[in-house]
Amino acid sequence: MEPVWLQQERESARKAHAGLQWPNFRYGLTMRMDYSDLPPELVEACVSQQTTQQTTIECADESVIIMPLKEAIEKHSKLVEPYLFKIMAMPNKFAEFHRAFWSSGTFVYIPAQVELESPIVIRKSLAGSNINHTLIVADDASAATIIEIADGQQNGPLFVSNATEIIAKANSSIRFISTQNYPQNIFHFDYKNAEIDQDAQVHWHDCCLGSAFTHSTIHSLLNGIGSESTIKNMFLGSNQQRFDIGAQIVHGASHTHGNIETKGILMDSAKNMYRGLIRIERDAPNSKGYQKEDVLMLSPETEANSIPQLEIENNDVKCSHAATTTHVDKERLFYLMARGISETTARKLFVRGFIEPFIQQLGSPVTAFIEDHIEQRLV
Amino acid sequence: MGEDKMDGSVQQVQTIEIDRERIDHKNEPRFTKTTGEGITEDVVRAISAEKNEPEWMLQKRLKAFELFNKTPIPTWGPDLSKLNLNKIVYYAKPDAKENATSWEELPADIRRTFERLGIPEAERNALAGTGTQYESSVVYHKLKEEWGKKGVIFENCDVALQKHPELFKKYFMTNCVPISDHKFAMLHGAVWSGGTFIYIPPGVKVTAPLQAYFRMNAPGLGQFEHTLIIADKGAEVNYVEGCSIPLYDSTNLHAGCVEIYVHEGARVRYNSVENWSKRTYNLNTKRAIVEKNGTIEWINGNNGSQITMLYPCSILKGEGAKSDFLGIAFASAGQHQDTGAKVIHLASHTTSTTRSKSISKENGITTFRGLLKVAKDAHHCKANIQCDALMLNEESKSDTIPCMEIKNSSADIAHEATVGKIGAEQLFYLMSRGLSAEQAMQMIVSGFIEPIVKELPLEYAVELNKLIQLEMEGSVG
Repeated sequence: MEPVWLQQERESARKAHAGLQWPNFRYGLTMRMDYSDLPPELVEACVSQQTTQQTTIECADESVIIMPLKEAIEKHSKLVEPYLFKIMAMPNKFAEFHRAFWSSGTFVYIPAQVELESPIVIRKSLAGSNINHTLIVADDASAATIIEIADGQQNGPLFVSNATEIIAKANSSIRFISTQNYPQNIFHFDYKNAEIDQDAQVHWHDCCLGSAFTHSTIHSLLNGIGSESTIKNMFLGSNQQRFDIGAQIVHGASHTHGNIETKGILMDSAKNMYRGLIRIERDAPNSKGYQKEDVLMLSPETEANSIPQLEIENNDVKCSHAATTTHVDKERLFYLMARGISETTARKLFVRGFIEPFIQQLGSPVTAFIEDHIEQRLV
Repeated sequence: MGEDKMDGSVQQVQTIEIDRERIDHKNEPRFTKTTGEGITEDVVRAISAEKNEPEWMLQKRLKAFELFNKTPIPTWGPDLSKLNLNKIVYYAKPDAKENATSWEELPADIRRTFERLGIPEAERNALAGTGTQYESSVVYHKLKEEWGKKGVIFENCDVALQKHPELFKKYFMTNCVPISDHKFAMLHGAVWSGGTFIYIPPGVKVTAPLQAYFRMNAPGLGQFEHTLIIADKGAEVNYVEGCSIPLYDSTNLHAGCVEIYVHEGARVRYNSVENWSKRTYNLNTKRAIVEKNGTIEWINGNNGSQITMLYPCSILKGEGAKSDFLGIAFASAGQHQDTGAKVIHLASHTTSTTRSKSISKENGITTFRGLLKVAKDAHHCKANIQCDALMLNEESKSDTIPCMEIKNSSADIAHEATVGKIGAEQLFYLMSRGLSAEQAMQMIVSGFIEPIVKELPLEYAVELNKLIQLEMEGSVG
């Protein structure tokens, strides 16, 4: 039996979900991410047919509380209740669905002053349709790197919803590195949220590699003076893959820094939609925001859409953004091939050059994993 | 050396006289015909009958009106809920002869208005042709004889409909801006009046600019002038448009429509400096279709209006077509400038550059809303978008919303945007050289918009500088 507060939480989410229309993922005046191949029944089926993801956790430090979310609700209710679902952006049909019907997840609590030397590694493997929730609470002046590796062999089509909430208290510092490599018949919805207190930092590194359709939004709220967040993400699409990727940083306090850097590689008929947002609120003077998106289109059938948006309500700020779309042009290929390199290798080198700066920031073991992955995917 | 330069600039800043009277002077409105407030089918019929239009135009107007009635007011942009379309006067014919070809034929007060705005003088000195619209009617329209001989047509749109029905029927609100385009294009289609029709025959290069000035004088009036420019193969034309209205307590509405056809190898430059009053809703449509190797250049200044919604659009339809957009928007207290540019690359080897500068002051809001689209079959396109926003006060607001839709992998696209304020160091530097804070600020703003201003014809550059200076007055302290 779940505690009353959680039952109420689920009930209110159920109602909100029922009252909302299915989104059409239309952006701007003419852009649209097509997910019509996801039948609503497949989503609704998730209510009764969830299979918990196989989860293994590596954590060297014993002062950290890390356990399945349901267990944490029983054992550490006081640590979970104040934070669970408090920072997810609502209303949103899919996020409300997630809040109402989640069935498994992980809770991580890093006590005050604890600085982890080695990263916490969470490995999740799909075993069926699932709604999985991760809640991370970093207490005052704690520091940790958390790596989340999600994959699976399951045959689809399946609906999978993941969400991560990070509460970063004053002076804490969290690096969250995630990779998702589901089979290309999974419909993946992913919401990552962070609320960042005074002088705290949250750095996201996210790699979207798998799934048929990904709708993902990473959202950082800089709530405390001097807080900082970076969102560095990449996506690699082949075949018919579609990525609807959002990266948003909201500056709600003064002296805050935000940085968004997105790299995308599209092959075959893959498509992407990038929604970037830097929002600097009136109460956030002396803030700095930067946003950059680069997409490399490797095949004529690919499609790259983007809306890198700025909303600035305070003039005492520095803010800029940039976006580029490029391709491997013939001269550059020719240059390499003239030096005896085969066309395939030349293309790979070009892609490596494009993505390398991003990959190197991930650190081991993720850097090696992504390098190998890209090597295999590029033919 | 640096100091010499600066002295020059200071003098320039100081010698630009600030003369609000020029714009805000009101004449007593005298109409010979008006449809009164509000819009009904009868109003649409009355406008058409008044102009003695052919049946097809009446039917087109009625169709547009029907669509207008069915379509809700758009809600994706600025707040239009305070715009009461029933309080607008949709047609008002001033008490003046239409299409005069000599300024003496105009009533004295109207003539003085245009003299104050410097139009007859500009015509004498620099222009190939001039048209001026007052309320709903074109009161003066003249093309210099030499251009008429070369086959250039420069007419009031109402006259062009009568004189060149075939051209008109082919191009008027058909492929470029169809009457079904959006709510205010529908309204325009229903009640349009006046404006300019330009046809440049193949190979003719009009070396001096053609100019139109649109003046609203009466409170509560709407102006719906139509501009139709056709540059035939290899032709060139430079068109300049200005507009203004004195400030009233009631709301004015401007829903103009500009359609430009740039045929193969032709080049059209469209300059516009808009200075409607701060109680005007400027909901305007401008679009160009550019054929093979043609070039469209937009230079767009938005200074006035309470709310502006204007996104000049270039449709690059032929191979090698090119679009060049320069825009500047200034929003001070109570204003929302929602502007931008749309470029649609439909053909291969098309290129576009978009540069936008915006300044927001006090609680003014500037929004850059852009669209860049590269179609699937358009190979090797290049596009560059750059927008910079300057925010002068703490309450200012600036949004940047560029949408990019790239369906061809051989495209090279780059987009950049910056938002910032005037740095304390910059101000200090100038003030330590003896400038007042206000002068220093003006100079920095002038520097910020310089790349745009220098592209404008001289008198408009001066005008824009003056306008910005007016706006900057009292921005310090």
